[in-house]
Amino acid sequence: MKELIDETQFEAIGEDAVEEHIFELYSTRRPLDRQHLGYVDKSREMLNVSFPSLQVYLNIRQSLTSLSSSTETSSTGFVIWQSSLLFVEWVAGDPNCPFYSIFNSKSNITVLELGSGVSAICATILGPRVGRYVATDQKHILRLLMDNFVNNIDSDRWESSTIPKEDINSTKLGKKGPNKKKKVSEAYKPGSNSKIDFIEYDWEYMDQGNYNYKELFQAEESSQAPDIILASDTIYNEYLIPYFIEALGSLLTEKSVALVVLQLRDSITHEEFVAQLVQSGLKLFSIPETKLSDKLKRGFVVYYITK
Amino acid sequence: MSKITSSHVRENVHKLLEFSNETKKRNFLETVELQVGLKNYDPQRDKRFSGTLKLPQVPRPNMTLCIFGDAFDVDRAKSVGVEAMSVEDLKKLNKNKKLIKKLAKKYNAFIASEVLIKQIPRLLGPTLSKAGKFPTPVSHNDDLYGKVTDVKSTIRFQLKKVLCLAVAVGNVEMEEDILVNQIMMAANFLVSLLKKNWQNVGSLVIKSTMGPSFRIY
Repeated sequence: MKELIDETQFEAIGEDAVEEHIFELYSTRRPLDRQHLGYVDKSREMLNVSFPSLQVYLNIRQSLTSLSSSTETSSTGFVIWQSSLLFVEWVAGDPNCPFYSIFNSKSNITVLELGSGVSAICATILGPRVGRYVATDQKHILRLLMDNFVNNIDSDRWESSTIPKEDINSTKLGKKGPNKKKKVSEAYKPGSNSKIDFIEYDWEYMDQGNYNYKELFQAEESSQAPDIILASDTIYNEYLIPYFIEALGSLLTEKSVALVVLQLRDSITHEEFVAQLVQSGLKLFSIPETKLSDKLKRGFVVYYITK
Repeated sequence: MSKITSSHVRENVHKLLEFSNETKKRNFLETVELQVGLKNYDPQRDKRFSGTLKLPQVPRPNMTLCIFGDAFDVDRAKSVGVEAMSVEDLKKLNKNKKLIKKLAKKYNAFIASEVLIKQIPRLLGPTLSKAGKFPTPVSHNDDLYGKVTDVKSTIRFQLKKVLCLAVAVGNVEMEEDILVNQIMMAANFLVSLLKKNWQNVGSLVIKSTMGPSFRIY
């Protein structure tokens, strides 16, 4: 994958440029008049999310009760965050995006997403465009993540070894109720089925996560490292930073790349992430503002990371 | 659903203004703060929020501002009555940590000419970032006076490692209606930042600089 991407168009961030990078981001790319936490809508369980530029319309269920439960399993992954929407719209629908050509037509690559959350937005839209898509999150997120995927995917050319058979059959036979609109248009050319899977990957238990990933390839001759790793809005507190970076480092190979989208929130947490990432030995690049969509330009940053 | 009503806030604003303007008037303009106590929030594991909101009126008219400007903006700064420093002035600080800390403390907020933003961390080091005082960029096409007003009207909620925070929402010379509105806007915005909304709010208190506290939630 790496050889297909021209790194020189990105801004490299070395160890001595971390402070300047954060300073510039938080001075020039912070929305001035109003900035909130970044969820899409926290008042309803069912959300209609539309991507006019992709001709995609999704009905997504989020779980407000799980979000606000006071148990261990309460997770920010139970609601939809703006950053995923903006990211998908950009990579799949904006010709100015450096990765547009990768996702615009069907390719054979393997994509792994860290911290997908329940929405399945990336799996639903990007999954059918690649050979293999593996969405991951903590165990308690997976059920709703798979439900949202099954309810929204509108292609027949996919298979999965992690979604229960009866769920797949019900979608593929079109038993989705009488009034379901066509949702995901099949913009790509015909080809073989995409394999789209959902596995548990908790960054705090990276070895187990990596094992779960390898297990997907059991029936095949060799396990395949992901070509692209995606993560959207996965850095929001200091505690998780080292786990996330370690997981990322273990999944990246010499040939693969990672794309990480962050919303600008707390500059100190953000700087901590950038500093630790650079110290870990991974190479960090920021996608320049001129390559981002208008919506991503204010309040977000997209990182390109390689080994 | 808002859990505070404007009539309840108004009652408390009325008492607050009565105290500061009649019972015990101070010889300076008292600021009105909204103080927030959070609960059920784990600053370590939950999304560390930071939110900004522009209020209709400037809460603290005499908040201090400094412009890091190129020649054009330093010149304009004088005409709008705001202090300014040129690149030369910044260079004179000679990266001296004490002086830079003093500078960061002296002003509540900073504005910088767009063209200078990239140079500032090199000139001043990490002090401004650590204080969270990132300058707001201004271009030559921007109306500087408008920018100054924008910056002065914008309040910022930032959760640090402790579960309480305070933000200036007005002053005791504001009309009651206006102050009530500023408080309602700020409180509702804060709640929208919280993962569990009102379930995360332990208390909301309004207080003038020298006056007693009035609990509104």
